[in-house]
Amino acid sequence: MSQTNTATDAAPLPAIAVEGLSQRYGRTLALDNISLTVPTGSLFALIGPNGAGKSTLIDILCTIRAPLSGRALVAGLDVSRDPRGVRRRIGVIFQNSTLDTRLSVFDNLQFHARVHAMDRAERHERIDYMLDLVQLTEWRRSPVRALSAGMKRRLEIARGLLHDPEILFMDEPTVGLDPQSRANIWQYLAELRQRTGLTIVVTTHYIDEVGGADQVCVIDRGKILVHGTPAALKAAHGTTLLRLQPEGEDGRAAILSAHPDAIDTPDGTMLVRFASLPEAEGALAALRGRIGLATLEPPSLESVFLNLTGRALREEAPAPGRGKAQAGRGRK
Amino acid sequence: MARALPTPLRAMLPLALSFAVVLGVNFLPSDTALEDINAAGRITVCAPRDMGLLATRDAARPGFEIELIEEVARRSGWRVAVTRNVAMGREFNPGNWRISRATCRILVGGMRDNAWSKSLLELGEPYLSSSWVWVAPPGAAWPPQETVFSPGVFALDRAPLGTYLRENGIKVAPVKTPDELVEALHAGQLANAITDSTTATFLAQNHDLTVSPLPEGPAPTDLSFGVWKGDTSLRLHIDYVIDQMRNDDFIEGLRDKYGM
Amino acid sequence: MTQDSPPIRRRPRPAPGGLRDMWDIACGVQTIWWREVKRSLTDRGQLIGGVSRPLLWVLILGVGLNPFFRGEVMGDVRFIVPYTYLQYIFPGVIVLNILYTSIQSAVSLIWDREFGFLREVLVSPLPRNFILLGKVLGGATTAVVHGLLVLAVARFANIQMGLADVGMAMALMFLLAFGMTSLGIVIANHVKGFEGFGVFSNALVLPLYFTSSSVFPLDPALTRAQTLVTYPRWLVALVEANPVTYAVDTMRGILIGFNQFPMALGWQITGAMAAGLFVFAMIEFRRL
Repeated sequence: MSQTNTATDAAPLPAIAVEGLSQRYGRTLALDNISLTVPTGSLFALIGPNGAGKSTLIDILCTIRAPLSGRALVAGLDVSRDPRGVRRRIGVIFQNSTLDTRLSVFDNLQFHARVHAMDRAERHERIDYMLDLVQLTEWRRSPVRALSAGMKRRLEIARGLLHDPEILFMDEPTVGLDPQSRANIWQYLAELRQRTGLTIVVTTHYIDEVGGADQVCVIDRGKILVHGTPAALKAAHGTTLLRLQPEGEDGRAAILSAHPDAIDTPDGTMLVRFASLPEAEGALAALRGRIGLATLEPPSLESVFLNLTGRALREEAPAPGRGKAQAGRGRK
Repeated sequence: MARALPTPLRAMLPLALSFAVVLGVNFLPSDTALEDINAAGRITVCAPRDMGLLATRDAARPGFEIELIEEVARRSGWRVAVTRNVAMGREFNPGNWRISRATCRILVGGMRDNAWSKSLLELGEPYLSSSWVWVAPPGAAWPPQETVFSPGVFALDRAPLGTYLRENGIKVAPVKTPDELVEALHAGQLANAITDSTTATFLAQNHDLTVSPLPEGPAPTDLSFGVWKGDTSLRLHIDYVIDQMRNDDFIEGLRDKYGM
Repeated sequence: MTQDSPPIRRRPRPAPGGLRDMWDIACGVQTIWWREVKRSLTDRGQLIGGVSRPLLWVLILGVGLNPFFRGEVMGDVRFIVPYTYLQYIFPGVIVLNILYTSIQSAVSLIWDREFGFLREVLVSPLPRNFILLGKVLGGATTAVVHGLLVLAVARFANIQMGLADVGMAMALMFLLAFGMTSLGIVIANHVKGFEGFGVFSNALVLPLYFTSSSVFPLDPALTRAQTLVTYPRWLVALVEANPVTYAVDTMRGILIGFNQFPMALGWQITGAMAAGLFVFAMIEFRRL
């Protein structure tokens, strides 16, 4: 159930309300006067390249960092005034695994439960439930290091939701997973949302995964470029994309001469934008012989991003250590 | 939800092993003293020529500590050679005794626990106690106005005694040696004396005097044998033997013999 | 996915600062403390260090140097300090183990925060200061256990201790470890890009150890004026400025009854370090 019109929705408050938030990263502004709202029960996707400020925003919303200026209300509580209250109501899944690999699955969950002040009965019921939900029940006693990457992710989801939060933050949740695992994870989350009205905030650069989101917000260099439903964004900013694999240097030169605004991506392909599908098809025909693989992509969120920023979202590889939340130069 | 039992125990294994290793170290000998004595089959002892009942010139009753150490040697299967050293009875500073490991491995004769001894020696478990006592004719009144004082045969701490005497308003007529003490008593003016318990016992046996502790006086001092610092294995062994002697009442018997 | 979510909903939030809240926090601190203790005491690397240090310092160095500090050397009776060298350095080796373990805990805490598990704990309702408290308590507890590894060799070093002595020694160990772990946190927080623990070992632990009168005394048989004459002034000043000196001194007083400074001084300084450095660590920890 998506709610796109916050003005008339029945829920009293948005899950998250951000007003004029700013924060620095070194000497640059990581966040520049950001404002947004996330409706309760929605799946909210935050898209942007690394260095865009996504991580900083998530850090502030999770109360890990304080904002320089502005205000953020998470689950109705101000992150600056009542961070403890906020933390009771949120669950966080970080990009890098924060499991204790030396402990067992159960021990990791139990640690989390105890630190979240869940009493004994509560703990046991919730742990059983969550393990069943993410299908890790048989692995209860196994040490975490015996799990695959996908299973670890599922465990982290189980852990993040163990204390029944209202809002779940997920930072690049599916990085490093195979497509099957990725699909599974989105499935669990969809089911959870259905049952419990969970609000989920996701940051990702796997732009193809957020097509099912209720709200997508594109952020770049500390500013929000656009936000809205995927459909609205695609309609407003999307273009047909032709993804071309050039045949050697000649092919590349030929493409560039026909389409000077073609963009290179790190995986070796080139992207060309077209206003409409027939145009793209025509261009494809013209380039026959000079290209290897070609893909015709209807307006997608990736093209939205491309149009707004002039860069491909996959330009940079994901940042390795998200833990560099402190001031310091040299973040990739 | 109990975890399977073996795992936490297994996890603690490295820690248990660590403690086992360090505790095991305690069984290593830190020095070769005991080994040396056992190998030679002979122990050398230094003792003062004269120290009350602890060491005397009488061959039949050589002294409490002499007999004690001879018994220790006998039980340990060692021959014993006692060297009498005049300086030990007179000088408090062990540096002036002119002895070394070559001269003797054990020292007896009023070794007590103070900074001097500790710099030089390791002391064993105490087997005797000495304190300042009052020697007087039977029935004499306490406190006396004036008393003869002799420091006695070994270095009991005089400072607390001084304080005590001042507090009780007792004047002191000091003498140097136990012989002078006897003379002073016989001279008659003062019939009582304060000295160390060993000397006092000695005196009381030979004259018609009683020995009584000073009421609320300074605490007693423990005596024991000394070995050179670092000869721990030897000391531990002798402690053990003396403890056995305590258990089968040998020490008690020796005390009775010397009337202590 | 077979069951519905169990009907347990979040119980109402206990009033911050209230009794229930305090209880929750205490349980949280205990959870963190226990995890720390378990992890450290099963860490083989740390245990190897914790065992090798007493073995090397007490067993090897202590015995090796013992003969040079005997009261009688080559027929010449001399006064040194009233104890064997083994007895003398014993308290220092305890402090050495405490230093190493405390700093190791601190460094691992910083790594934990940067790259791992701690981030998860930081988004829990546990207040930051109590998270830190749990971690520091855990580090201090581990340090005390490592100190006990040294105490276990007491018989070899010819040190007699009663139960009361052991208790006091453990209390002092704990206080010192608490302060040193906090110090480690403050320093590690500022040193970015360090290559593991070796830097700390050489730049922090060993200097603190060697200038704390652990290995050589400022000979008390001499007056202070003579001490200055025997050792260069700068060395005496350095040793006296090192707060660990007083902890070692008091530890020595507890174990072998020999201390150069008043016993109370060691307790006061160690206690003040524990409190003061922890406050510092709290400030550093908040900087995220």
